[in-house]
Amino acid sequence: MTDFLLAALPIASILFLMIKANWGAARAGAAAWFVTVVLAVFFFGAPTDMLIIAQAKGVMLALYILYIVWAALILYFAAEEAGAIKTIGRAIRSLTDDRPLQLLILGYVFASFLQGVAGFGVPIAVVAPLLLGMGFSPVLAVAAPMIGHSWSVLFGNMATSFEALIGVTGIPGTELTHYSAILLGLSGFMCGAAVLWLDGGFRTIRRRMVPLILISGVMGVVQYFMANYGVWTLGGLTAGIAGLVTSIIVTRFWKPHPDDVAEQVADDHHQMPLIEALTPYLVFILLVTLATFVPAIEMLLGKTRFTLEFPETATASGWVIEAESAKAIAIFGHPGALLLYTAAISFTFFKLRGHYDNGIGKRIWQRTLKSGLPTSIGMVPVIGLAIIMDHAGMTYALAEGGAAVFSGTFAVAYPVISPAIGALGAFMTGSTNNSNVVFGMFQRHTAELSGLSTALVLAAQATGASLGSMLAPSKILVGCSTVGLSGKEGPVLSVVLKTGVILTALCGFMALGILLITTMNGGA
Amino acid sequence: MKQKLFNPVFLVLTSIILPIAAFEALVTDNIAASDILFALFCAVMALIVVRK
Repeated sequence: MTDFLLAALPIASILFLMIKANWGAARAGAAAWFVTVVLAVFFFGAPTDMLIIAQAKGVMLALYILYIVWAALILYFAAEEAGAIKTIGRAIRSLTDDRPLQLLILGYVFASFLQGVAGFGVPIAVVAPLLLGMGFSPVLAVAAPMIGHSWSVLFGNMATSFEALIGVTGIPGTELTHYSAILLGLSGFMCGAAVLWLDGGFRTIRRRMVPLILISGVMGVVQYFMANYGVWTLGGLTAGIAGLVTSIIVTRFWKPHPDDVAEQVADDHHQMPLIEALTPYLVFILLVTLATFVPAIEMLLGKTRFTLEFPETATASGWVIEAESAKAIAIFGHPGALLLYTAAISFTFFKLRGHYDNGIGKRIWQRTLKSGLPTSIGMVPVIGLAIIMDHAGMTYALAEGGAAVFSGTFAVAYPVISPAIGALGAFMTGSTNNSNVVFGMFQRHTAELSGLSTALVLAAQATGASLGSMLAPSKILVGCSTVGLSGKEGPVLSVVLKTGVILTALCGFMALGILLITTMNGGA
Repeated sequence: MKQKLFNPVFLVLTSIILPIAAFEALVTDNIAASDILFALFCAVMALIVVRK
């Protein structure tokens, strides 16, 4: 129990400093980093070489994410300076006058689609400024895509985190997809409802129940079939496309409530055709498709890689992390590189079309620096503390403490806590993938010891990890940097934390419900 | 000097370079250099904490 409480201290510190003391993520992260190091050394027996190795791994992961952040910022400012962002916002507004439905389409459907295409914070970096441009508050502009995209993380971005779960647990994907897709589909509906709730509470959800059920239902069903027919790598992407198509159809027949008609925002720039405004994103989708599905291009772009080989580490108390390679950064094939190519193509295109004034290059670079630097300062301590916690056995102590409550007589209730462990892993490591790697085997063992369905418990872990990605401080940093909230991330964390906890708890109860139903039917 | 220490570019670059340098020193068995570089990284973390 002492280990559990001590291991919880870094999380408590970062939450307290960001939410109560109103510190920025960088300061709070660095302060919590010191708390983590002191606890790791004096209570969990971490040697100095382990700290150095863990921190170096943290830097490698930070570089992986920062590559995307900086490239996404350059692309965004290149599009924004040309007037493309305002044009896209106007197009969504013209799709429907219903303000909450606009929020749902961008913050939930479009963000889920982008997660299917790219991931690693791209949905937030792209959608948050679009929502801000449409007149939503900065906090809502970041929180909506954070919450809205989370359900599609597991099967999005070529299902890399699902593949990680398969790899680490050794259980075939075909055994995991059924429950995972059901829990994610139901959670997807909850995420959509939560996005609507942000804009006006339960009344807003009630008034848009029909479009919400239709859109989330189609996305959930498409993802279920893709996952269960063995093409889970495309589950998130196809669900996102299906969601966009359904949204367009639904808006044709949907009449907005008089209270929720979006205000007309005056356009202070020259008109640009929608197809021109969408060029950056169409180019990006094309490049991602080529880099993913054309083996020759994938191989060519992936040739030059930067990685480090890390040796095994062990604490004095015997917690061992095996030797491993850092997440390799394919210099020319990384999602950040694809964003950079897109930015270069878009910049040239907009320049040729005469959408830029003089001195545009300098202006884009200055705006990128202003947004990117505060984010970058925070990334290293936040990711570093998560990896040090993992390597010192602190993250495991947290999960073990939570699971201990549900041992013995209460074992049947374990599916309730299982998604919370997954979400905790995603919060601490900033990645659904890492959460599945860290906790996948632990969840499998706990399920086997408790006599529960391994597939269901692992699905609950994976769904929790997917939902928990909305709490990842690194993603909050990315979103805040694009809407001018750098250094003021506390309010965003506060909103997503409350929502994330509720959604994860609901996911746990859904998993318990599935367990009870299958048990009554003689399964499980 | 104070301005330079709190410069965001300096903080970003040092927080990325120092841990990697400390790790490289560690794997080449240069323990003293590794410890010094990691201590410098701790100092950079302290600068981030006190930076408003």
